[in-house]
Amino acid sequence: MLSSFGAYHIDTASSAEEAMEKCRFNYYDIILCDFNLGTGKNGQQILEALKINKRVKHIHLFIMITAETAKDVVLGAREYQPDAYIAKPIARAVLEKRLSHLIRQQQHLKPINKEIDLGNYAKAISLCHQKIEQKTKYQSWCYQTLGTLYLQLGDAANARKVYETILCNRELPWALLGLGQSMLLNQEYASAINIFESCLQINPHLLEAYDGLTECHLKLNHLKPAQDILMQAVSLSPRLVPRQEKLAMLSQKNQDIATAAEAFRQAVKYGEHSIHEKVDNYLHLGRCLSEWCEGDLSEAGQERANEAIQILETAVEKFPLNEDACINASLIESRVYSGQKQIIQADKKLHFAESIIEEESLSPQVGIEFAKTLQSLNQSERAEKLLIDLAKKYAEDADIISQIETLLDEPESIICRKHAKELNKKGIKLFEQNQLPAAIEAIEAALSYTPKHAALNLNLVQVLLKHYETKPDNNTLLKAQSCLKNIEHIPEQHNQYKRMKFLANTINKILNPSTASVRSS
Amino acid sequence: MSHLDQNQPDFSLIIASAVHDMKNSLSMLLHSVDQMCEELPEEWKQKNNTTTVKYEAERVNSYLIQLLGLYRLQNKMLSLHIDECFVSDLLDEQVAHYEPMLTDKNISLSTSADENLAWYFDREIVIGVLNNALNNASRYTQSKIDICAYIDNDFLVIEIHDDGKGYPALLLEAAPGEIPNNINFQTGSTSLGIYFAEMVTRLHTQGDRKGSIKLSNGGKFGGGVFCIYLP
Repeated sequence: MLSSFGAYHIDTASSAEEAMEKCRFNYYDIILCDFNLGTGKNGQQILEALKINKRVKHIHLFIMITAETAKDVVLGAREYQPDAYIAKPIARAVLEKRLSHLIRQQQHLKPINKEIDLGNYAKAISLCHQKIEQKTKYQSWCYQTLGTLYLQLGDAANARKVYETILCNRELPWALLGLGQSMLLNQEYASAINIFESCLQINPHLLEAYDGLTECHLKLNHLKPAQDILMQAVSLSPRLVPRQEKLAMLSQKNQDIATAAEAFRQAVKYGEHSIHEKVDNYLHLGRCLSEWCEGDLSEAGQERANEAIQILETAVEKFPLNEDACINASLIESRVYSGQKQIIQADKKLHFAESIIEEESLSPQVGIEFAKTLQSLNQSERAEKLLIDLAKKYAEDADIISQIETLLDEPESIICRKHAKELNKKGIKLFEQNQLPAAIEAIEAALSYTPKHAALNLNLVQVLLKHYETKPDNNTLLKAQSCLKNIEHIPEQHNQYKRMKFLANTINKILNPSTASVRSS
Repeated sequence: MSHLDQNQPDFSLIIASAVHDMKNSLSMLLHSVDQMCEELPEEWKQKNNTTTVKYEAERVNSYLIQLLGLYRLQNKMLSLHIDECFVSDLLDEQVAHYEPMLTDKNISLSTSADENLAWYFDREIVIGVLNNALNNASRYTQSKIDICAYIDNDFLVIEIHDDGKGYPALLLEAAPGEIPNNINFQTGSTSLGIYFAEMVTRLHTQGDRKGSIKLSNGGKFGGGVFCIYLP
């Protein structure tokens, strides 16, 4: 049938693997692909890999043919925008016609697509304008492409003009979406949110609108709403791995461990065979579950612990050559066992990891994992030393330093951190209302969860000092001093270091006014 | 009124999953028939048995699609994918689909639509509605069917005219959405297709305007006219 279109080179592949292999060495003008391909990648994952590796370009046609009608499959397959999505069964005669129409369109638009593939966006834009003036049937395609090109060039003003032209005539979801995206690009987040929301009113399945909304909320630092939007998107279209990863990271930040675990679970599940399969998601899931079930010996806790061990073992099986990942997996496993009070197993896993770890060439990721495990096995001093060494070694790397800081501050589980955070917030509020004793109580309660947290200890010092001003009592000062002692370990790179020095100095001045005045003179 | 027994499984769910299975096996069947027909000797192909097999199977398939669609609609699982579509291309494809069978039955099929006519709708769903209307028309028409599409008052209008006896009064008088009440097991007419068409065209909205269908008699050939309106 295909040869009747004048195709002179036709390949078929009977498996996903064979298809990928063929696409590695050839560019095809047209690819017809089923969604369900038996074992290995599915059609969506093939398209995803080919698009990301640029093996399918704008000048090529990728056509998805499938009998699948389940919503998650359909929405997932459309996320990478195949040129056509054809439902099976389709009579041969109809498919022939459909293909000939698609090919005709592709031929007609080839000059524009060619320039896009070459990265000559300016040229592509001027060709689009020419084509629009010719008033062909592809006018709408040209407007759509024009808008996308302007957005990619970062030209929000021109993109907006294109979309507004379209919206004058008809409220089309793609134009509305584009308008929202141009506003987002122009940092008009509030208006963009309005537009994206009205997109979703017209079409609640427009996943790009969810993505746009998430982006806006993130820019505004509205982390919780951003997470909620992502959760809606993910429940509609669970098969897109990067979105699951994004949700997982964000809900971790929001200390929503259940959502984070579920998102990592899905990222692992749908990542299988895909270009996004990576050991990190397995490890993250293991970490999440490990924190979640720490000290929880109930049935649910045990189940989570088992799941964590299983996922980490799978990671080691799947990625045996990634040494760091294998060490990390053992370290996390050790923590899971320790959290379930299975100390012998925990020690066994730790020793195994130690036998592979070479301390002098320790990568920061493994080092941090190692320290975490030591902390959970009550070897805090060793952990602290390790972290401080690492901090010195990677003093330049802000990301690593901030991870080390968190660990030094809060070796405790995410659940404790959440309690501490809430109590601290309460304490600050009381402090602002000048209810000092109540504020002290709240922050002390917070510290009972995370006793070594630097900022928290310093908050308490500050409240105590204020309290001392109105009610001078040496006990108050002694309490403040013990807070400072709690955090004297923090390295110079720590973001609270200067504040600690300043407050220590203030207390010294009150306790020893003479020495302080001598020093200052 | 019957009340739901908690222990009874939801029958519509059972039907839906059975229909889904049937659709898949029918898809395989259709594919095999297509392949078998390719291998038949020329003189066999001339006889029209093969087209009957194919088209009856496809009729069953389009029923199944409608059943599944209605099930999803009821459970709010039906998702529309509204894209720009070229109407004349779409009609072209349907002509390619039906012409062999209609030629066998000595029925002529003509279409008229502006080459550049583009409109926004869910392609697969509108194809489902058209398929059903064409299946229907081909059963009741005498000798010809005409499909024409045009824009009227900011609606896309697709009309299917035939020269049969026209629709029965009962169908013409039914209020929208009431059609399933006319299911008549004696005549074998369930009007399911018309109900499906009514429900899914209504999902197409633009501002406060909704899609719809209209049945009438007369038209170009004095037979039935099936009319789709999409905003």
